[in-house]
Amino acid sequence: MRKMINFVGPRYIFIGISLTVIALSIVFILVKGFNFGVDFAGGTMITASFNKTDLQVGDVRKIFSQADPAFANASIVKMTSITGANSNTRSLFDLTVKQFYNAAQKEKLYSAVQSVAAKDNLNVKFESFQTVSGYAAASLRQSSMWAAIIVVILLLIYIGIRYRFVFGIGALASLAHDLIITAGLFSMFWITFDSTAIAALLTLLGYSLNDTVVVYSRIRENLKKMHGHPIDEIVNVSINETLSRTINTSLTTFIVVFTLFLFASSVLRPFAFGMSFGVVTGTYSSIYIASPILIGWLEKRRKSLAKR
Amino acid sequence: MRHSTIRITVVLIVLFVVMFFLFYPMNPSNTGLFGNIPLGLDIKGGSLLEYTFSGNITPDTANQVVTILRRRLDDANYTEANVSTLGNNGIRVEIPGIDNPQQAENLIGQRGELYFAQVLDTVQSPVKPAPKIGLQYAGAEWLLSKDPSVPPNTWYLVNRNIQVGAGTLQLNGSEVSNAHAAINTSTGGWEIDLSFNAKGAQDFYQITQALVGKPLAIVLDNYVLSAPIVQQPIQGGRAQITGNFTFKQAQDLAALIRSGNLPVTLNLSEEQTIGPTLGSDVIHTSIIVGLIGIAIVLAYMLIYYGPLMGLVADLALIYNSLFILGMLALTHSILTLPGIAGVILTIGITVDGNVIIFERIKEEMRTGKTPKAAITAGFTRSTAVILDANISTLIVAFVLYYFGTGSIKGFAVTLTIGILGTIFTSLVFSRVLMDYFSPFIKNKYLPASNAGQVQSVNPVQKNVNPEQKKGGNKK
Repeated sequence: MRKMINFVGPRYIFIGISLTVIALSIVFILVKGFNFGVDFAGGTMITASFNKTDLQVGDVRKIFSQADPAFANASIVKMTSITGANSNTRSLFDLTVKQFYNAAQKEKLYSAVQSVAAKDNLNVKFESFQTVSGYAAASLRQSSMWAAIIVVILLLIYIGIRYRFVFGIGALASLAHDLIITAGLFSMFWITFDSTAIAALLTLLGYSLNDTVVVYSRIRENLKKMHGHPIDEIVNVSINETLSRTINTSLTTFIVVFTLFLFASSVLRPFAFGMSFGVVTGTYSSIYIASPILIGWLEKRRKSLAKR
Repeated sequence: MRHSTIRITVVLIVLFVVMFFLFYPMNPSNTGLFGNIPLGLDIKGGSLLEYTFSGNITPDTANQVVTILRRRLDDANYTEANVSTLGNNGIRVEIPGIDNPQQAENLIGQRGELYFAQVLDTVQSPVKPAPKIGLQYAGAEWLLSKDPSVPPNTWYLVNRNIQVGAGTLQLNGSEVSNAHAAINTSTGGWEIDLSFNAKGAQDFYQITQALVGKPLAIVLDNYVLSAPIVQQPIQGGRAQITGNFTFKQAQDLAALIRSGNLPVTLNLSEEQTIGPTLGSDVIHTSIIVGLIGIAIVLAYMLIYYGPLMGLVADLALIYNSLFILGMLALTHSILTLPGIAGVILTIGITVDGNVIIFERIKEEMRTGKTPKAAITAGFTRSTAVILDANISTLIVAFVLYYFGTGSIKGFAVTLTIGILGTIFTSLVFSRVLMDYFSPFIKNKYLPASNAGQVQSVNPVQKNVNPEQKKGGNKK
C-alpha cells in the first residue's frame, strides 16, 4: 500500500494562503506597477561597451549626460563584460531613457558620446541600440493584450471540449492564480516587463494547464474506478498518484529555466525569471488549488445525480 | 509486433541520420555550429527598422511601399534585407549583418521624387534665402545643393515649370526608364546615367534646346543633386548626373531613381540595431546554459529512474534535441534569442512525456502485471494524457506566432517544433526502446521481491509529513 499525503484536508488553509499572496500581488501591481521595457513603454535602450573594464555606472552617466542631458536620469546597469573582436575585454552597460531617437538624432548622440569619451581616452561603441516611439509601443501593448485574451479563450474552449464545465472553472482559477502571482513577482523584484516577459507568462499558462490537465484526467479516471468513495478521497488519491510526475517534470523544467535565469544575458532574463517562478506557482496551484477547489462542485453534482 | 518494432527502429535511425545531416554544417569551423540554421538579427547582428506612413494612405499603399523598398534595397546591394508590411499603415525592414543602419535608413526614408528644373538664381548662404518677388519667380523655390563639387551652402532658386518657347514643360522621374551608376570617363569619378522613355526623350530634347548655355537642375527629394550647364541640345533620351559621387553613392541614387516615388512619407517608429559581438557572446552563453541544463536533467533522470528507464529518457531527450535542430534547419526557421530559450525550455518539457509513461508503468507493475504487459498498458493509457497536456502549450505557441514580432515568433516556432518532437519521441521513440529493454526490466512490486523496497521507490515521498492519511489507496 502506498503512502498518501493529505493534500485536500487542509485545502482551506492553502486556498487562504493563495488568496493572501494574490491580494499582495495585486497590491504590488497597482501600487508599484511594472518596470516596462522600452518595447512596451517607448524610449531607447542602448548597450554600450567601453575599452576600460573598471568603469562604473557613475562614470558612464557622466559621459552620456555631457553628450545629451536626457541621460542624467537614465537607468544604467553594468552588465557582464564581453570579449570583443580582437579578444580584448570591454565593459558593458545597459542605458535606458524615455526619449525616442530617430536616425539623425541617434547619429548626433553617438558622435557626441564618442567625442566626450575620447577626452577621457575612452573608446565607446554602441553594441546594441533599440528605440521605440510611443506609437509602436502602444501597438505592441495592444497586440499583447489581444494575444493574452485569445490564449485564455482558446484554452477555456479546449478544456470545455475535453472536460466537464467544473473542470474548466477549476483550471481557470488556477491559471489566474499563477498569472497574477507571477506578474506580482515581476513588480516586486522590478524585473523588466517586456515582450519576452509576455511570452513567458503565456507559455506559463500552457504549462500550468498541462500540469492541471494531467491531474484532472486522473480524477476523471478515478471517478469511474473508485465509484462510491468520497469525492475528497478520490481527488486526494488522484493528486498522490500523479505527484511524482508533477514533481519530476516541474523540477527538470525548473532546473533548465533557472540555469538560464542565472547565466543568461539581459535579453532573456525577464523570460527566464517568469518561467522559473511560474513553474513553481504552477506546480503549487495544480496540487493545492486546481484540484481541491473541484471537491465542492463534484460533491454537489453527485448529490443531484443521486436524487434523480 | 516484432516486425513492426524493427520497421519503426529503421525509420527512427534513418530520421536520426537525416536530422543530423540537416543540422550539422559541412564546415563548422567556418560557419559555426549553427551554420545550417538561419540566425535572427538579435543573434548575428543587424538592424530592424519600423516605419509608419503619413500622407494619403490607401489599402494598397503598404504593398506599394514594400515593392519599392525591396527594389531600392536590392539595387543598393542589401540583398539579405527583408521588407514586410505591418498592417495597413506601416512596414518593417530587417537588414542582417550591418551595425550602422544610417545609409540604409537614408535609402528607405527618401521619397525618391525626381524632377528637372530651371535654375533662376544661385546664392551661397548658411540659411535659406528669402523668396524672390516678381512674376518670373512664381512657383520657384530655394533648394539646397547636395553636389560635393560646388561650395557648401549653395542654394538654387529652381522652377519645375521649365520655360520652353511660349509655354512650359515639366520633366520628372516617371519619364526615366532606367538609371545606373557609371564611371565618368573625363573625371574618373562616378556618375549616374539616365535613359528616358520616348516622351521623356522628346521633352528632354526640347528643354535642353531652350536652356543652352544655362544650368539645368536635377532635383531629388527637394535637394539639388547637380545643376550642370547645358552645352548643346541633347537628342536620344540619355542624360548624366555628374557630381563626383563615390561608387556607393552613385549606386544608391540610381536605385532610388529607378524604384520611383514612394506614395507616402515614412516616419521611423522603431529601430533595433544589434552589433555582431553582443550576439555571438549571447549565443555562446546560451549554448553553455543549454548544455548545463541538459547535463543536470540527464543525470536526474538516470538517478531517479535507474539505469534502464533513465537511459531511455536520456536518449529520448537527446533525440528530441537533435530533432528540433534538424527541423529548424529543414524549415529554415529563424533562430532568435527567445527561440533559444524555447529550445532550452523544451529540454525541461521533453522528459514530461517519459515521466508520465514511466509513472504509469510503475503503477501498472504495482497491480501485479509482468513488465511487458505493464509497458504496453503504460503507453496505451498515457497516450491521451500526453496529447491533452501538450495541446495546451501548442495553443499558446500558435497564438504567440500569430501575434508576436520577429524574435517572439522565433520562440513560438521552436516551442511548436519542440512540443511536436516531444510527443513523437515519447510515444514512438521511447516505446521502441522500452520494447527492446523490457526483458531486462524487473517488476519489484511482485510479491516475490523484497516488500521493503516499495517504500524507497519514490524518494519524494520520504518527505511525507506526519499528517498523512493511512491506507488511502484501496484499489
